[in-house]
Amino acid sequence: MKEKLYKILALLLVTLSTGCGGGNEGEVVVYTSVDQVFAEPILHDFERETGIKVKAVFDTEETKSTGVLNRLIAEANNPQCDLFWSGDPVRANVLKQKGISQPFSPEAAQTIPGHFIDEEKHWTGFSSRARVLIYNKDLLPANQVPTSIFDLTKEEYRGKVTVANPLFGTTSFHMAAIFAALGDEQAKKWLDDLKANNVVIATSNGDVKKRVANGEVWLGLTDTDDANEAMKEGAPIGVVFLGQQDIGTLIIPNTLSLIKGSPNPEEAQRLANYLMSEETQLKLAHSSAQMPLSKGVEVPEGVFSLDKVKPMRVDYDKSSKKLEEIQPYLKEWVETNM
Amino acid sequence: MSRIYLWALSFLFVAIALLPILYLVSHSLGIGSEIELGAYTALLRGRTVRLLLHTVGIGAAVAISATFLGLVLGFIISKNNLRHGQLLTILLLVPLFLPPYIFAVAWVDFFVVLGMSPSVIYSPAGAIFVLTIIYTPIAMLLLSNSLQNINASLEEAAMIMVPYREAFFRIILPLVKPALLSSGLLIFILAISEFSVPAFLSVQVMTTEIFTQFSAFYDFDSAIILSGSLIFLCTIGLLAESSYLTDKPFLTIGSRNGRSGYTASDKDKKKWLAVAGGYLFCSTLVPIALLAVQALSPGLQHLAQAFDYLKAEMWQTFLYACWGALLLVLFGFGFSYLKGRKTARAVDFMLILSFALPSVVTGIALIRYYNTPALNFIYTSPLIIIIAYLMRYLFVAEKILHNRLMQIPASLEQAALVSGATKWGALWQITVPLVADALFGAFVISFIFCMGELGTAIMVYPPGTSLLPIKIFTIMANAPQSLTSAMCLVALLFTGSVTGGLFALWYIKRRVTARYGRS
Repeated sequence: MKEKLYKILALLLVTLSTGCGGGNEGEVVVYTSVDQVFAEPILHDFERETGIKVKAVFDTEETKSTGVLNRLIAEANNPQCDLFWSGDPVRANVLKQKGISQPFSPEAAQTIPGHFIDEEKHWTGFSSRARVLIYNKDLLPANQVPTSIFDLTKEEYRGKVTVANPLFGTTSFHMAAIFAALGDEQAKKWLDDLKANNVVIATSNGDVKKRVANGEVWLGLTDTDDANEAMKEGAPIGVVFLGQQDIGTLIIPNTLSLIKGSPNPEEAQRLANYLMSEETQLKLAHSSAQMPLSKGVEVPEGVFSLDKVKPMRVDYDKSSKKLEEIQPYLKEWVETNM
Repeated sequence: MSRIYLWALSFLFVAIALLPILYLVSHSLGIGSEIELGAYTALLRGRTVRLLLHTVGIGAAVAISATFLGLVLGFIISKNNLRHGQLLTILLLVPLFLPPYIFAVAWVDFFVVLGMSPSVIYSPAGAIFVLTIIYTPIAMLLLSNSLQNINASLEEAAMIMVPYREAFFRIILPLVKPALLSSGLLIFILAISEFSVPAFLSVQVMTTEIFTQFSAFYDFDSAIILSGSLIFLCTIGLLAESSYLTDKPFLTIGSRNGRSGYTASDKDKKKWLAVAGGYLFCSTLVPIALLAVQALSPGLQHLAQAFDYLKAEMWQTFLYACWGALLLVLFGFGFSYLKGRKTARAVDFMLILSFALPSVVTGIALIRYYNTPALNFIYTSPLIIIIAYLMRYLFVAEKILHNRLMQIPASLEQAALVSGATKWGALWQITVPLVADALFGAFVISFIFCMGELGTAIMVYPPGTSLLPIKIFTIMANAPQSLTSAMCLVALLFTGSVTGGLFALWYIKRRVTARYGRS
């Protein structure tokens, strides 16, 4: 019996010790807050084309795009990750402020407009999403759909508007950008009016999409990829780029950050160049309706184009700092709304 | 001699599972960090106290309602000798096979499909409802076994004097009171530690506050301090339990007695079967059917796609869950055997400390402790997942096994020793066969828990590996509803069939043993 036990334990150790990694030649570790369904095929393509093995850690809806970021912060003293592929620049700025990322300049960044690259080169943007208003076409005629965020506080939309929890994800960034654009006083008034109009707080942008699609509410603020997904599913969803007559639409680029002390920096640079390439931006446009940032990349039919949208004037670095400043207010706003 | 083994086992557990927590706590106390003890005054703020009371209220409501339902269902399956009773038991266990979040999603969809406003489910009452459904099977499992273990002669003696209904309330219920309290405590701890359901239903509790501190403010220390309040609550529960329940048989899996003094009439059987069937239909079959309808609405393509997405993760998750469950049973048996027939409070405290810690805090503790160059071989391998399983569920496995062992008379092993058997021989030849049913039960429950573990595993899974619940959650954000439902259905079928397979093997083994003897 004892012999059997020893055999079992030996087998256990052998089985579990397979899969050890970190710092191995010909591999790269990437942490990403981009949805796995879009990121994974591209990483597989990179593996196939270069022979470099990609070990990925993905984020979940449940951790609201902050799970991998928390992990990067917790791993700061002994980094395991080489490249952080973020769905927005806020998380990249958190890494920069905490000294976890390091400056780097991928060759492919030359085609990216300077506005989407961090001044100190801690992150570089590529394909982007935009914040949009989605509405249920069965419940609201197109001519009654708001065109500005300020319309959402009107009495006629009482209890019919939903936004994701503004403490997390791209919604938090959107709030920071609104505060930066309007000033604290006006932005707080807008949020208070929204609260007085019984806005519904959803758990995530995906939840916003779902609630609008199934008719729980009429309108919701979300990202273009969620809107696109809802339309692909056949939901009766219409999309509006808000603020074309006033503050503009928030553009949210993907970003890449090289982790300081990363075990495989060369492979990370190769992957960064691959992700920023025109081919990858085109793939992301097809799979998740992301708008390419490199000029000259063809925009597939049905994908929103940056050329046709009035963008919000945003200093991504300052907005990230603004977010930190307004978070206690946002937390209180959420708590009194629930 | 056994004291040495107990020390060695405790040392091993402390080294691999408790030191990460102690490291984190010492950090939050200001050792090696800039945090001051004054930060602990946050626990006394009005909002924190209100949140704590709210959490306790929800946890208590879930514990009471799930334990009550568990008692009713436990009585039905243990005392009525129903045809297909084992199948009914397995079906009633289904809510344990899915991550809790999925049930919350399914119930919201249920209201939407009926054209009703789901606002009723986005409330504390909704959270209590969903969590009760999820945890009732645990209460049912514990209480049905406790009811089965009641000496049939006590029931028979009572029934000579009074009708069974009166005997149940005056004799049976007091006998299972320790199991009722134990079930309530276990579910209370699980309910106050649960994050995904209250978060999805927009209900503010302590775990959502902890998550906000972690994920919105990146304030690890505040989150750890807030977690301390949950650990404090669980510790109070443990102390109450150990002072009241010492040496009483509770949290038991086994069939020492097996024979019931109560014989239900055919009419009663039908009545109870209707009650159990009605509960099964309303609590489980409705949301599962909804998942199935959503998954199959575009045809079989999404089901095939879901299987394709998840097939690699199935094997990996199965393998890790098997090893996790095996180690949980080995550690659980080791602790419970070496503790002897006493409650070793130090051991209990160690286990409840790691069990009560919110999953996200456990994840941070593991990262902080294991992510060093010297321990990279653990941190970057699946061993870290197995350690997470140990930290999360050893309390449950040990409780099940300890209380089964308490029912085995010490004189049996002593007789073997007097007859010349070695200590190991007596253990393997006498004790292990007598608790084999509890070992199997502990393995199955541990396996189910490991299969569904998400909160800590998502924080520490090594790059390049993936587990079933993690894959579902990482894909569901942007997958069509039908694909998400199909993935949940595949996960449910997989976990259900593996567990069903284990029960079938156990059943066959028992039949063969009963027919041909041990050899």
